[in-house]
Amino acid sequence: MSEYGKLRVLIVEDELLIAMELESCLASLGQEVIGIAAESGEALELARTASPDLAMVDLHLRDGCTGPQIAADLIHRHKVLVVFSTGTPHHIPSDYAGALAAIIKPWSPEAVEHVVRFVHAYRAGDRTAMAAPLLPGISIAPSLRATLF
Amino acid sequence: MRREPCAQAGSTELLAAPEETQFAHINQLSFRRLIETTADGVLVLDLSGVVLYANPAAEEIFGHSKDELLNIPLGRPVASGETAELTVRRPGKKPAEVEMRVVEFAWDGRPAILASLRDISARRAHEERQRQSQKLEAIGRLSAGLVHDLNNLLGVFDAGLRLLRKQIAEDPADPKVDMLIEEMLKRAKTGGALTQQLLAFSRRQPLTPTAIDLNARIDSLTNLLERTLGGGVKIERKLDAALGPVLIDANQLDVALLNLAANGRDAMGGQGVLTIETCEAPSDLEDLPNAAAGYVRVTVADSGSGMSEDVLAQAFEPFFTTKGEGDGTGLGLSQVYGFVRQSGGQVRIDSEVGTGTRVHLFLPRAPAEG
Repeated sequence: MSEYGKLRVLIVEDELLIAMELESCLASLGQEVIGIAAESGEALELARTASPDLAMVDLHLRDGCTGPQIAADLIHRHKVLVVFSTGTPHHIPSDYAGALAAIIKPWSPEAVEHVVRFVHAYRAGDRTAMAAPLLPGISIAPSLRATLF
Repeated sequence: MRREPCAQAGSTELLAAPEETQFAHINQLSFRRLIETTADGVLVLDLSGVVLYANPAAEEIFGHSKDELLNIPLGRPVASGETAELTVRRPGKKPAEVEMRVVEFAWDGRPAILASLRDISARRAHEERQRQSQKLEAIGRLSAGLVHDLNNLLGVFDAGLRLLRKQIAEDPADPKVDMLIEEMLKRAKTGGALTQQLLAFSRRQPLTPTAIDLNARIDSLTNLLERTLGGGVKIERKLDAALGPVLIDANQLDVALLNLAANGRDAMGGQGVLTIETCEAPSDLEDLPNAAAGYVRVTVADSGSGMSEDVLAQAFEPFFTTKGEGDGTGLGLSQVYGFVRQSGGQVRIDSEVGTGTRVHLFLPRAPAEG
């Protein structure tokens, strides 16, 4: 999968198997997973020590519904891009807490590939690639969406 | 002419009521027809419980003809002025739930008992259907959480199976294969436990108060609540380990606690702490019908929005709800109140706007064994 550059990805997910599969999907897309965190403390510690480019963040974690706060901290304090990965999309704050997009669980490996493609396009500022169709389980943050379509 | 010869000897007493002048124009035959036609069963028994008279409705209720009834000693089931409920087993028919009221009077110049009987089987069946629908409704209040829990579980299996397929293709002998299988088996087991609990919960059961361990019941329910109230609600238990058993219908208690927990969750907008506390209740509490037996208190408290005085005053009324249309039926607290009062207990709500709500249930202690 050399069509993408390599992103350093942090997975914030308290379901072991889901985290492992996400790691496996990202690895097969040529991305580097720098760690898996199951709650806020671990997530912020990994953000500080391993400087990820992207974090895939679940909303409900071992320490409660802390996903949105983690996202905000990662974005503002650590300059990390965030994509939510959640089974309860209605719990995403209306401003997406600054995240780029959300992928609805349970997702398919193809959906993960679309998200990775979207994040790379965003980093490259490639608006045409960003506007490419995405699988139904992916939604772009409303403010970002408004600039694209 | 007003006093025709009695159609049945002894009925003089029935006619000697103060209404005599008012109903003077009604003759004795009409009175007799009244008794023979009324839908309520009428029995006259002597003091040893032998039937002296039975009207057709009583024959219907007991499933025996008048002649048969006249030979059956029924005993003397209740004291005068009291109401009793009895189950009457009838030949070839379903048992009837019968409400019986008794007054003493004189019949044929001798002291006797007049019993009025009413078949309340239909009402009882209706109440049971109502309990069942209240129970299903309480489960319905958790459905969003349940769907999320199951969806999450499906996601786990989905991910696990794809990982397994990949791992087997790479190296089937890798220990990771076993680890994945074990992890999925573990999750399948906890998922199964949840559905078992729900099935047990929704089963139709007659109302049967028994001596139950309140703390154990709360422990087992907490597992269900933790997985259905949503990730934003933290459940704290403060259970008095020395608590004795209470006399209550376990199933209805679950429904009541579930309703209170769902109310708490809604009052907190899905985010906050729900506390379930048990302790001994003080013995000098007002308005408890059976203070001698003693009471135990269970309190469900939330850290939510609280209730205004207006809302508080209407909280127990059926169909009263502060939730938007389609969100609440207003039957949650009325189930709690109905059940606790029926069990000989009491409910108190302690709430102010901004301080959250504490609902206290006072439940009767089970009598000591032996």
